[in-house]
Amino acid sequence: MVLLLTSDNEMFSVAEDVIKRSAYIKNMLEDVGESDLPIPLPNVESNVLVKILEYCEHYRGEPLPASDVDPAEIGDRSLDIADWDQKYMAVDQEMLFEIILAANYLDIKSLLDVGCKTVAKMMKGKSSEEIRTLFNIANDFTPEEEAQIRKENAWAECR
Amino acid sequence: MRLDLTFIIPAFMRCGFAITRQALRTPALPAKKPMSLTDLPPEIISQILSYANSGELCRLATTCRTLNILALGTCFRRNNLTTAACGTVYISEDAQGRTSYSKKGSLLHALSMATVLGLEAFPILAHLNHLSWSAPTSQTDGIQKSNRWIKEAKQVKRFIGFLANRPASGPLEQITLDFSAAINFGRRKEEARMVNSRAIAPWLRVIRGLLDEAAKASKRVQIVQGGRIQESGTLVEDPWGRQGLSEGVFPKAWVGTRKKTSMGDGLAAKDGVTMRLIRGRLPFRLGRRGTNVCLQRLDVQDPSFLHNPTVVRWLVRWTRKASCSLEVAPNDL
Repeated sequence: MVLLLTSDNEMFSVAEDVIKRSAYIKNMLEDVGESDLPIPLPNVESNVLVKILEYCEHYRGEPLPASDVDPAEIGDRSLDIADWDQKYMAVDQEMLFEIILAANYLDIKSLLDVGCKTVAKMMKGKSSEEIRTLFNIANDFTPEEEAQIRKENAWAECR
Repeated sequence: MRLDLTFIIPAFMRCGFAITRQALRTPALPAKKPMSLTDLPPEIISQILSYANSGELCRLATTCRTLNILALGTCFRRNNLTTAACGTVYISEDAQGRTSYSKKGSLLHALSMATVLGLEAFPILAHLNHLSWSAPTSQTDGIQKSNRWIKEAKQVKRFIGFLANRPASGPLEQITLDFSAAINFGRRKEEARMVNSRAIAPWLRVIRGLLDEAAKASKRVQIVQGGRIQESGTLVEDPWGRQGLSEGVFPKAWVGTRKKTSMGDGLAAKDGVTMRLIRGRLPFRLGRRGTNVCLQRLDVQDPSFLHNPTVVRWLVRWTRKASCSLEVAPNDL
């Protein structure tokens, strides 16, 4: 069993084969070896870690994805999400972002992918104003920049 | 650190993990929760953007500065426009942007959007030294849109204007323009109409707009056919004569040929290539003085331009105005 200590001081005792989905923890265990001391996770709260562990538990025993391609280089990737993952990601936006951040911190690639796909799916087919509202994005363009953006877009819209 | 394991939730044990609560004297600092998409780290936003197509990226670029920089950056990387490989930008049919035309996304759109925040946000634009643009066909998804290329040409003109005004960046080495998919001045069926200067005036006006801007932005402009720079040609003694023209059409230009064996700039520099050279440097230098025209040479390699005497006359006139040399490679005249 591995002990994990969250940012809000909750201790989690987790089976090693469950948490090894996290490359961060896996590497730490390999480097440090067996230890009774808990692994501190200052960037992860307990409610988020519960969700993360739920994911790890579901995919317990399945082989780890071995892709090392820079995702930004690839375009128009498939947005298909497995049914279980879709249900798993049916959370409020704040929790969704926290899961993504935790997945990134713990280096759980497959979970990070699912989180990013979920956000990308939410953006699909929405106007820039809708995206601003949906993701609470402040429009920080100056009026001049805004006018120029409108001009550049007018050309694209009427093609 | 002393742990006080107060309780274990048995239900979690079968799931492979258990929670215990511990009391620590020093509470952990509360982490800043992500309230907005832009609160996420840039690498994660980039990963989210990797699932968007070109059109969506351009739309996201209009939401805020952060997404503008990251979305357009993703678009540029997809088109291999990165700092490592930058220098040349191709806007053509096979470029990714153009294939998603119906999705209102294109590399040209992304480049135009990048001009809004400028070089500070997109320093890569300062390193561009070769722009290649192929006009789109007027046929889109079976629908004829004759003014489609004109709209795009105006956008390219604006972008070239931006490149011409880059501070601390020299002029581009070359701008390559390919109109062959959009217009054909040498089309036989329409020969009479194509030679009529009034009929082709609107097209020439668009081309002149592009060339005027290109003259300020680049040392060399090429008009090519099929998006490729002609690498081999045959000696044509008198292409103008074949078109019923003579050197008299260009009273103040001298015409000559030269073996193109040692071009310093490495373009179309295969041995044995013969090109026709018309020096357009004339006593009057209209447009040169008082403006920042930096064009030295205009290469015309599209036979459709050279087949049409009206266009040829117009080309020579424009060359005089820009006070640059005109070079043609009439492979099949």
